[in-house]
Amino acid sequence: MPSRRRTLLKVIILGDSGVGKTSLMNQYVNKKFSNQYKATIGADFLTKEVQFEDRLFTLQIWDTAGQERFQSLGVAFYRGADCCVLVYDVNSMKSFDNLNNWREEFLIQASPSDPENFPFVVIGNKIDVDGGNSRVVSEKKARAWCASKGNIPYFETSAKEGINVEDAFQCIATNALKSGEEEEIYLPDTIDVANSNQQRSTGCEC
Amino acid sequence: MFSSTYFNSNINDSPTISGSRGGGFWLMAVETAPSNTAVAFTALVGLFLVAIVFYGASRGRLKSPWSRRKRKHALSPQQWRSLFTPDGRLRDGGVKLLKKVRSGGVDPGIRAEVWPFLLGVYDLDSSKEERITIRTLNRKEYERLRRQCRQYLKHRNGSFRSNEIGGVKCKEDSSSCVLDSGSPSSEDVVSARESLSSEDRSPDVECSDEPSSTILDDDISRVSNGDASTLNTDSSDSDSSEDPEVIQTFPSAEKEINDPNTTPKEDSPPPHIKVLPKLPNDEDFTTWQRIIRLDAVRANSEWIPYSPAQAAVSDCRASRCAEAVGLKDYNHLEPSRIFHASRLVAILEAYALYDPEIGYCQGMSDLLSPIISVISEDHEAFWCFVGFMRKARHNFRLDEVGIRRQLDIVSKIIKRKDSHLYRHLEKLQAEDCFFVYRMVVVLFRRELTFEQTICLWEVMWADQAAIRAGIGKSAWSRIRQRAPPTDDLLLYAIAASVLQRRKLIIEKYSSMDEILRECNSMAGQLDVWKLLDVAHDLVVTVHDKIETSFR
Repeated sequence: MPSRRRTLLKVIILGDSGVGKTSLMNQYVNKKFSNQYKATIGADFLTKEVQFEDRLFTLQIWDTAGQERFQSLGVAFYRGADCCVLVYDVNSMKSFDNLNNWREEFLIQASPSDPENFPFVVIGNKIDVDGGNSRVVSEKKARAWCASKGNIPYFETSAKEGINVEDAFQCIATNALKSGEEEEIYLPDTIDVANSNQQRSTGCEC
Repeated sequence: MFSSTYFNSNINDSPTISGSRGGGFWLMAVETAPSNTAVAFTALVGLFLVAIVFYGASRGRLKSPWSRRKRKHALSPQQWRSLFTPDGRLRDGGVKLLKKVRSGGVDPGIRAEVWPFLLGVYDLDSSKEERITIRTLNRKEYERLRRQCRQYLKHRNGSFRSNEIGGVKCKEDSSSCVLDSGSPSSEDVVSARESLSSEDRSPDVECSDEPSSTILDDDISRVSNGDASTLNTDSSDSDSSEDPEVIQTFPSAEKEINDPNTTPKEDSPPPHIKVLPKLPNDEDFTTWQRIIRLDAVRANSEWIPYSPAQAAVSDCRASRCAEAVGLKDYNHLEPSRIFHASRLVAILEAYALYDPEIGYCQGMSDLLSPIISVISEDHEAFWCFVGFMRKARHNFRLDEVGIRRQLDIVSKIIKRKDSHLYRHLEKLQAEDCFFVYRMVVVLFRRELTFEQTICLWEVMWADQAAIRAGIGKSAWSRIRQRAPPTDDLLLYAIAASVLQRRKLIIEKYSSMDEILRECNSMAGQLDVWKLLDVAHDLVVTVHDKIETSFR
């Protein structure tokens, strides 16, 4: 085991404006929902303590602006991320189509050491809207895309109703932790270098 | 020595912001005694900030117009009226007005009249007659932009027109039909309005074009026409029904509703989105329209106590305005907020066409909301917004030049004023001052209350107006102690808010994240006049050194 324990896990939430990034974060951390969150300017974060196999971690969740005009400013926020959450609105095809852009943009900006295996989690939000009748992106389609990008774990949520949010973040935390451990092999006081390909197996495939 | 080199290289690269005022002098000063100055600054900072809080009023040479003892009352309606000559011209080219506003803000009752002067909609030395002319031209230009917006909206919805059978038209997302009275399609606005329009004299469909309708009219004329003899008021004129241009275009708009293939008239652009400039990051007018609506319906209701007339808008009128701009998903909102959201949409869309290089960027609705709360006519609010954006637009530029420059200035102010704090920031790799990003982009709107924001902006606008009008340092210093007007007062205020927390930052914070957190949670903890007092002090001590290194 690595001798140096990580305590902070950094998670970045990306996705188009209005897909519910701020709402997801607040539902998870504060168990609250409001349809009056103003547009996020720049970025902000909330933290939550999570326990994982007897170890306590601080999950630092970064909520970002959906209209990312200032590409290079993203660097400041993306740096050091352990997991990236891509969110779309199941009632908006455009927001789904843009997932690819967000993913690529993240990989460019954050330039993780192992982009192939960097952990992403995809969330299709707003499944509550209109009882599901206004939905335009099918679960099948979303899962197919996730599969094509290296089996990205996929969740469907309602930040408003609190559906599946906890599970999604459980998975996010797990993946962030694995990603973190992967990075630890570069720390000078770390001995374990043998786990380089286990990390992508994502224990929370759904 | 470091600072000397630093400044030299920057000066060579870039001309100064507002002429070379004092640049040469400061360059010399910096070159001859750079390190001493820096040391002195450092040594003084701690003591200094304490002193500001406790002894601000008695600090001799550093008295600012915002220190407690010096603080003036807001510009009152009586004072405002007394500033004009009989032909409606500001007496001294506006110097007194700006001085007054800069030291105390504007009385809420006359804001709607004063702001167009502060924001450059009207020249400070304009006569009443000239203003009436400009106002009419401006109104027509705004109406033209709105017509163009409607064309785009129709075109966008037009592709779904095949759903139309026997007068039942479905919305773009086909999730709700006209039969749902809460959100009829925008194409129906004209006919819907006709059926409702017994009270409306205006032929146009937009909110502001109905100044005569229902509740608002009386209240607003009372507020904005405090003194008809001296002001640019022409409420009779604001009833745009006399505008022949609007009437003419109407049949064409209506025709288009019946026949989507109709070619638009010459003054309207072809309803093809692609005529708008294609932006490098793939944003287009359709994207802006979507995000504008998204942001409009989530604007908060903080303005309501400050705008009772608009807050009391009727249910019917609010819905009509929402229909006119094609607002959706607003059923959860009160009429006042629907009305507010609709006005935001109308003006932001028009702005996106007016300034396609900027278009719409999130944050702009934060800047517009206070303006429409104060100014009840859309076309007037639009031009005030244009005036506001003349400077603020740089925050939203796609090439990032604007936002980078601003963050850079904040960084330089802190570096100049407090090298200890600056070194700490460097250690945390936070010297780029990214943590004040939000404050810079929306000009403190998220950190201050509605009233505080307006006070700060008025003071800032007065500074910017002084610079525009060429009221130079010498004239200004006679009336204003020592601080020269600056285009960047806001940045000094932002730096002040950070400097006020220097102890906390240096002693407690060990990452940029924590500072960002602190900055993002300043809401409700700031005293705007105290902030301006510190900002004034910063302007006095570092302004010339900072400004010579930019542009």
